[in-house]
Amino acid sequence: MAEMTKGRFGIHGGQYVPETLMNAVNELEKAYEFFKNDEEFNRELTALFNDYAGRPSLLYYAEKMTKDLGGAKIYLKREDLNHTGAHKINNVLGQALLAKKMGKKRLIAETGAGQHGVATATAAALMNMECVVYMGKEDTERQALNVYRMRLLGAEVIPVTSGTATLKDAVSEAMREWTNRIDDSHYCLGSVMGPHPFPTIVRDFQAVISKEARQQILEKEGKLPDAVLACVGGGSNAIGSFYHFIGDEGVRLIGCEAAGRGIDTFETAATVNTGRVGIFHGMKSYFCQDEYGQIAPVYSISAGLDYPGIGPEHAHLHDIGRAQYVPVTDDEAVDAFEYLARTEGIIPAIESSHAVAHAMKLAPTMSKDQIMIVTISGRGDKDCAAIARYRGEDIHE
Amino acid sequence: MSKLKEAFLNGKTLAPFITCGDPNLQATAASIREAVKSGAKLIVLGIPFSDPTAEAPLLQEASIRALKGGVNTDKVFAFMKELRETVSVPVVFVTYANVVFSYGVDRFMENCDKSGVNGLMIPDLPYEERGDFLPECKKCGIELVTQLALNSDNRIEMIAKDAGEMICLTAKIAAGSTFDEALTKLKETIERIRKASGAPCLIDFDLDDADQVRKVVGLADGILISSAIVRLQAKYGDEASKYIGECVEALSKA
Repeated sequence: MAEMTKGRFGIHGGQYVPETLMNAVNELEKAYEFFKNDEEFNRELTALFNDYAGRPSLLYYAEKMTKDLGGAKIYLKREDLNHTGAHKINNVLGQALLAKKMGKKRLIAETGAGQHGVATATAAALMNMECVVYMGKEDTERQALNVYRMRLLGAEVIPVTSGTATLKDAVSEAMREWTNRIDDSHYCLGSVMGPHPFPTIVRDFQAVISKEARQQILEKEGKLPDAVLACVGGGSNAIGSFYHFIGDEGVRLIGCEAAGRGIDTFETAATVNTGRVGIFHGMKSYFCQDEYGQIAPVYSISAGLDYPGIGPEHAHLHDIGRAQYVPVTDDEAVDAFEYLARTEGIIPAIESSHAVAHAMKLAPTMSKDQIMIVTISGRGDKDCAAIARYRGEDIHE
Repeated sequence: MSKLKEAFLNGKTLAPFITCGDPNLQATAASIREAVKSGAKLIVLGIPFSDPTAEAPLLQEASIRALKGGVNTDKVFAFMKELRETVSVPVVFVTYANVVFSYGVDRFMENCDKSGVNGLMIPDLPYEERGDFLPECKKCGIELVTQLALNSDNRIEMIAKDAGEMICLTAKIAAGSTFDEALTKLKETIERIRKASGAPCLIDFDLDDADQVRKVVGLADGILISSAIVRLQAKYGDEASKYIGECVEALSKA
């Protein structure tokens, strides 16, 4: 019977939400089913992507990195060049437009590092909507500049003090708030997680990444890549990067999880590598949890990957062996952050640096006629002060 | 007649919600005894979960205090078994899907049965997903409580018609609305539930005002009192049982 319910990816996904939210998710599903095939909606969204967000994003041949590592030819999919500096804007423009069509006047959102919050505040400003962003108190302190950005864009930022006061608590709080204001509010969820239809909606809006990348690599190289790499927290830039390659069996899909201080420590956020199947935040998927199903307090240097679960479609891709999920530690990510800055003059987000780190390990093991695409999901300006501190420098924003 | 049905005999039912192990199991036992002595006919016992998304932060804090105090699912079952030696009123467990799923659904229900639990309520398990747990519940004779909300609207009939021995209707005052407006909506909702099902209906409404409690209880078979109890537990800790008893007694008379 479980397999028969809506929004399943194998055994994962579903709609594990309180009855108070069921009409809201059903209303959203119905609206999305209509608008996803609506010509006008798609025309408007494409215009927003191209004229506002700066799409298509570049597929850049990282020649120096390729030569330095001495293996596969490395291309970077430059989502960091999007307006607001990350892939998050793709999903947010789609959802804000959908919410507007549904007659909602208000967007609520959760945010970890602040990227999704900034993107949501941006879309709300553009579309003349109210915006309230829930952010773990600890994160509002770690990412004070992003809090200011959101306020500058007209959003209200509410620090969340419940639980561990991080991303998972911000999600919980946004869900609670949604139940209070379903009539006029849309919950603009930032990743491919939560109850159906969110994992599908967010995936579809992010799939533009692989749609472009597939076309771009065929134009540049005349063949498909051998591997596609992206970092995974909830997994939105990764599923966006993978989606149009899933049917191409020869393309290895590799998600890079935040291992924090290592998967053999408790200070990790590597869900597939250390978690078990569970039910949380509206979905069945893999979660970091203790033996009694209590959700584990996860850790990563990256506030954007600091989440105890993974999107249900990733869980399924893992189960069937179509995608592989590898752990990358803080140290490795920081090394990669510095490496890409020095080698290519590109400062990647610390989240994206997890994918770069694995590329640095993998590329030398591949041959020179092989190709890999690494998604740079966001730019790293926001992380500079934190990385400097990680290296022992006394810099504050 | 099933044990759970006893909770709804002889007048209205007041059901206090108590987080098991907040701040420790001795305090929980004392609170339950006082509540029963003061007129509680059904005990709703929460197995703590780290992230109870359907509940107010106040209840999450209670869960976290209990977890910090060292309680876990095994200890809750052992506690329940011991409690049954002295307390005979029906008990419904409330916990989140992951607590049950992680324990093993089969094993969880068997232990419910062995320790004298009568029902189970899972806030993040809506009607459509109940197939994950319902067969095991039925096998062990544990009632999976049917959940409805004030905004269930077009879903009321579909869900209520399949209800077993108990319906729990979540009510709250919507943003920008009043108690009286919620009461009107509650009345309409209950009338529709009654047409679709004969199961007793408990209302989960976060109230501690005796007058409001009386108005709500008048519409249905009983009321679940959560925040008022949790607040007392938070304030008085080990000494809370006396105050919880007084609270139950005052609201029972309402």
